[in-house]
Amino acid sequence: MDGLNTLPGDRQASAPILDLLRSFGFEDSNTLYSLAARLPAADIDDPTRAARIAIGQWFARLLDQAELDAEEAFLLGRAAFTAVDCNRRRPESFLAEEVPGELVSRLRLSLRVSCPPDTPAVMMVQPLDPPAPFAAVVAWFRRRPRPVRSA
Amino acid sequence: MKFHALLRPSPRPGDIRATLFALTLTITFLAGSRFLQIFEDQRAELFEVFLLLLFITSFWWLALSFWSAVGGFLALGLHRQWRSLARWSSGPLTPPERGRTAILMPIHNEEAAPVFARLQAMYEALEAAGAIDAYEFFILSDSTDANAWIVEEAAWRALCERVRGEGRIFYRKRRRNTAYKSGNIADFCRRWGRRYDYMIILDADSLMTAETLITLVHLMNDNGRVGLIQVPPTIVNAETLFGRLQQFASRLYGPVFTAGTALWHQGDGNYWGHNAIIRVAAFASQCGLPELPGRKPLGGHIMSHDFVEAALLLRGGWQVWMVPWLGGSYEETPPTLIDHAKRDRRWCQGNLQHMRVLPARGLLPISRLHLFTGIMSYLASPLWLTFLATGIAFSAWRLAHPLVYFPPYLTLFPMWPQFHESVAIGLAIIVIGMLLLPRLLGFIFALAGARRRVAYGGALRLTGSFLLELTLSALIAPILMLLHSGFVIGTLWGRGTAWRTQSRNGHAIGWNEACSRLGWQSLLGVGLTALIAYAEPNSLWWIAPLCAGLVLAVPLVVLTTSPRLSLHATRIGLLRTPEEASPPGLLVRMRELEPSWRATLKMPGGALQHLSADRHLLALHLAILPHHSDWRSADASLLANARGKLSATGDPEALSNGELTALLFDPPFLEGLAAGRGLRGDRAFLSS
Repeated sequence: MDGLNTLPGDRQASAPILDLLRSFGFEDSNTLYSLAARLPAADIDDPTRAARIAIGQWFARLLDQAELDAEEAFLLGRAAFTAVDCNRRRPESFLAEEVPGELVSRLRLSLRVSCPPDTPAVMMVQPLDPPAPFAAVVAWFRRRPRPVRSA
Repeated sequence: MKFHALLRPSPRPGDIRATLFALTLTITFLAGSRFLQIFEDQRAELFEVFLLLLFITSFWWLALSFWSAVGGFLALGLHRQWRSLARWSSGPLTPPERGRTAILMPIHNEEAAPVFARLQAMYEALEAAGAIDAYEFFILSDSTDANAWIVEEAAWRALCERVRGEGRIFYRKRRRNTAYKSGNIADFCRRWGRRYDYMIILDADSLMTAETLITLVHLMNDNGRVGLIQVPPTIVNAETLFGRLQQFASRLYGPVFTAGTALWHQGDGNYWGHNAIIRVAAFASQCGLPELPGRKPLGGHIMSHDFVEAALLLRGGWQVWMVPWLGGSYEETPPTLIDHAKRDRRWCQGNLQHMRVLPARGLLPISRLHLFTGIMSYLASPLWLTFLATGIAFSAWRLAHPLVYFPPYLTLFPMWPQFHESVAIGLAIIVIGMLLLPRLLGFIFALAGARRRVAYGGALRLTGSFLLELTLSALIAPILMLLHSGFVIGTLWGRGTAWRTQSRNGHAIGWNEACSRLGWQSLLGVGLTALIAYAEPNSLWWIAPLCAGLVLAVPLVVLTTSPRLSLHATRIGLLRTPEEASPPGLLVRMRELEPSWRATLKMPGGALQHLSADRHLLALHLAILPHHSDWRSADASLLANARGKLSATGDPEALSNGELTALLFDPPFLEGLAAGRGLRGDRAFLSS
């Protein structure tokens, strides 16, 4: 596979990193190890998190979604990536510096945002209490006799 | 194009209401005084007083509804929209230039195919009208069924693809459906309230034309004090005989009732929970619903939120209008009497909860009347039932206590107790007339207009359908009366009901199911008929309509869902409605789309199998998970159980719905699933 030749030195990827790449649909072990080599070094504290951030940043640049944080970009980018079947059609383009314009367009078209950004409104709970005299009557009716303890 | 707040000079709302109440009170007083004459000299004062109280309580409500319908008939006949929000002036309908609007479709374990067919049809209609830029769609899921949830996500993805609606069609699920539908809408307001000027609330079976959706925004733009506009929906798409009966009745009589209601409610109207536009700022500032004090079923979250929200809007100084003239608003109806009763069970509990809202501080008197009317719509059944039972008990008491013509004290004249049968018959005729006349007015209104008559299939079919509807609804009425009475007693006794999905698809009910549900009513009917025939044969004809309905309860349920009968009635044009004869374009489009949606959403296996087979859907599910409300609130024990079961059996079918839901909210598990782990006993992963 062009651009994804594996070198013996690349086979340092940890199982979680390979799992992460599998979640994009990559299955072939050569491809997995080659792509793992493009991710941050495996000797850092939390390689999976570092990898998610790196992939997220790559997606944010590629998809022109600078306002997204890396995790959000990772999740949305992965969904778009799998939507266009990139893992089978263009595995070499994953994390590449240069990605064909046609692929970028297709990825952008495949972005699915389930909700708009939050624009909260205050919605206070409104009282439905009865007026004071009525409330007293209701309370009187609700009052239950205390259980009498036997001596 | 310009919309006006008021159409033409007209009577003031106060005058209309004063007239309506004066007529209601007058006829109630007259009927009450006639009622007393029935028992003149019967020496049964306690019975008399009790029966009189029951009679008046039930009768005034009937009278109010009657005069309201008469007013509606006059308004329709005179083509008047007195003080209504105006019609638009001539000219094409232009897209709204301002007023960002969210169209909300709250769903709860619904069958996704018809829901998304409706959404697609409405989206396309707005797009064709060139108005789509002013609207955004929200599918607000409260589904508790994990499989339904994943189907909804797949449907949302497909809808975005079909109409290229990304960024304009949104999907959000709540982890916990706190406060049911009102909580669902409140969650929307709290999260995105400032993004929109208006929200159009739909039900899962709602459909509204582009013209109506656009006109509603224009009306809101031009009437700054209006908080809510309700468009009464027309029932469509019924297939069973029972459903078509409801559809026909609602279409034929509905205009008279809604025109009357709109006439005297005016800007102090009511809200029916869907097919309405709401000013978001007004709603957010006034309609945060509290939990009602006390235990369920009368306490807790408010189930029938719509009436209360309308009351709160009015309390906050906003207007609430009903605009029956607008049209283009549709909904569906339960297909069987059993499903109808199930829905009524939920509505009954919700309306009875309003007893605790009724005395709330600051509500307008008319809001209290709306709430009371809602309560009475269910309370009326046990009241009439008690009235009938007391009447029968009175007869029994009379049999057991022979009349004494010569009392033990000295008197010149014997005592001649009288039972004024003619007065009783006259009163019965008045009650029946008040029940039937509004229906007759609806029939006359349809018959009088040539185009309307043709739309119902012509004079002959319309008359035949009217008579069939009258007969069947008269037979069904006592069945519903007993069921409603049971619901009311059950609710007051403390037996609540859960929030269940409404059945919307027609299906035949077999004899066994009908017997197990309503067999007791048939037995009761037979017993009652036999008892009266033995003890008071002369009274049998009085009670015959009641007994006939009860005796026939089981066959009625079966026959009104029989596919053969339904098909036959449709073929010969019985119970035909204008929408059935000539379906609106939107309805046609929705029906065209539904089969393709069924094919798209056909998912063999459960949610987990489907996600593991559809990599994109799983990635999408993970991407939208953080956008769901309350998604981080973990069900730790359910999750542990689910992982344990999967680890032990590797079979997702072994999971309960709660366990499956917990897994679908758990990113670590889902990431594992995306990496090809998680199913079929990957023990190391599942126990991690």
